[in-house]
Amino acid sequence: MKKNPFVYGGPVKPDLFVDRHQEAVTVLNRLANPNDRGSSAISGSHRIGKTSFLHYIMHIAKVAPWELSLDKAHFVFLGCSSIPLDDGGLLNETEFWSRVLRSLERELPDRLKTCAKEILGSSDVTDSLGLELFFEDIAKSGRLVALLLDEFEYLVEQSDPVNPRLLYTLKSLINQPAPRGLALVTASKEALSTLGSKLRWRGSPFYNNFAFITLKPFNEDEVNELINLYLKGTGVEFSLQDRQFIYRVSEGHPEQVQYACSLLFEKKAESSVGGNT
Amino acid sequence: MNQDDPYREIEEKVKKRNKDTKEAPEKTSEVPREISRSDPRLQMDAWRGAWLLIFTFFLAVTLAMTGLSLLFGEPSPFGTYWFMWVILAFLVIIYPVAQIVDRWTGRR
Repeated sequence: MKKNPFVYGGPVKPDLFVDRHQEAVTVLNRLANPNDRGSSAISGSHRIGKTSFLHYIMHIAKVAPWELSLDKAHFVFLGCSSIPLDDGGLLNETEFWSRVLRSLERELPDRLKTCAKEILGSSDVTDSLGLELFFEDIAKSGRLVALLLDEFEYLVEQSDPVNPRLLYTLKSLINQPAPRGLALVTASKEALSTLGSKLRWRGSPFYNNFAFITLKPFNEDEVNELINLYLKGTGVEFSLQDRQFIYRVSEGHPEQVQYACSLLFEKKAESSVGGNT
Repeated sequence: MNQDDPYREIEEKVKKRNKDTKEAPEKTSEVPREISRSDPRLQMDAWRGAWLLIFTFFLAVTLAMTGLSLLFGEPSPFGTYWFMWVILAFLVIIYPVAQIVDRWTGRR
C-alpha cells in the first residue's frame, strides 16, 4: 500500500509548505530590517494555514537574505489558547510572560539569560518597566525577539475589556524607537483592526504598528504546485482532470485541497493495488 | 479507474468535512467578554449618563416654562421659575466636581 503524503487537520511541516512566498517576504523583511523590526498581523479564514505559516516563517528566517539565525533573532511560538486563565477568568498575564521568558532563557547568551532569570524570579513578572529594560538590552545586543502569537483572538477576548494590560504592555514594547528588541507576528481569523474594536482602548490603536497580511485560498497554479510537491516519489499521478476536480471541489482552500487530494490518493492507491489503473 | 463515482464520493466527503469543521465549536469564544454590571468603571459611566439625562430634562423644562411665562407677560426670564435656573446651575457645577473626585479616588 502506498503511503498517503497529504496532510489535513493540522499544521504542515515547513518543508511541505506551499506558496505564501510574498506574504513571508513581507513579514521577514520587516523583522530583518534593523531600522524597523516591524510587527505583522496575519489573518485568514478557519484552517487556511495560519499556524503552518507561522512555523514556516520560523523555518525560513534563518536563510538568506534574512539570516535571522540564533545569534540575531529568537523566535518564540505561543498558542494563545494554551495560556491558562486566572481566578477572574482573564488571561493570566504572569503565565504569558513566564512562558516567553522561559523559552528565551534556553537560547539567550549568559548576560541576557541572567536578566530573564531576574525577571522570572521577581515578585511581578508582568512589570512593564522591567520588561522594557529587558527588551532594550536585547536590542542593544543586536538581537531581536519575535513573538509568534497564534490564535491571537483568544488573547484579545480573554483580556479585561476595560483595561487590557497585556495588550498595553505589548503595544508599548513594539512602540519603542528602532532598533527594537521585540516584534510580534500575530495570527487570527479576524483582522487585527476588527479584533481591537471589542476593547475599550485608550490612546492610539493597538494595530497602528502592524503590517496586515491576509491569507487567501490558493489559485489553480498553487494547487498544482502543492499536488506536485506531495506526489513526488509516491509513484501516483493525478491527471489534468483530477487536478481540475480538486481545484473545483476545494475552491483552493488549502485544507480542503489536502483532504480532497488525500481521498483521491487513497482511491488511486487502492485501484493500483487491485490492478485497475 | 471509474472517474465518476470516486469524484462524487470525494466531493460529498469534502463538503461534509467543510460543513462539520465550520459548525464545530471554536476553541475561542466568538463573543467578546462582557463587562460585569458591578464593575465600578461602568457604574461611573452610568453616573455620567444619568447626569446627562437629568440635565437635559431640567434644561428642556426650564426653557419651556420660561418661554411660556415670557409669552404670557412675565417681565423677566428669571421671574417665577428662578429656582429651575438654580437647579441647572447646580447640575453644571456638580459635573466637574464629580470628575475631580473620580481622579482623587483613582477610578479614572
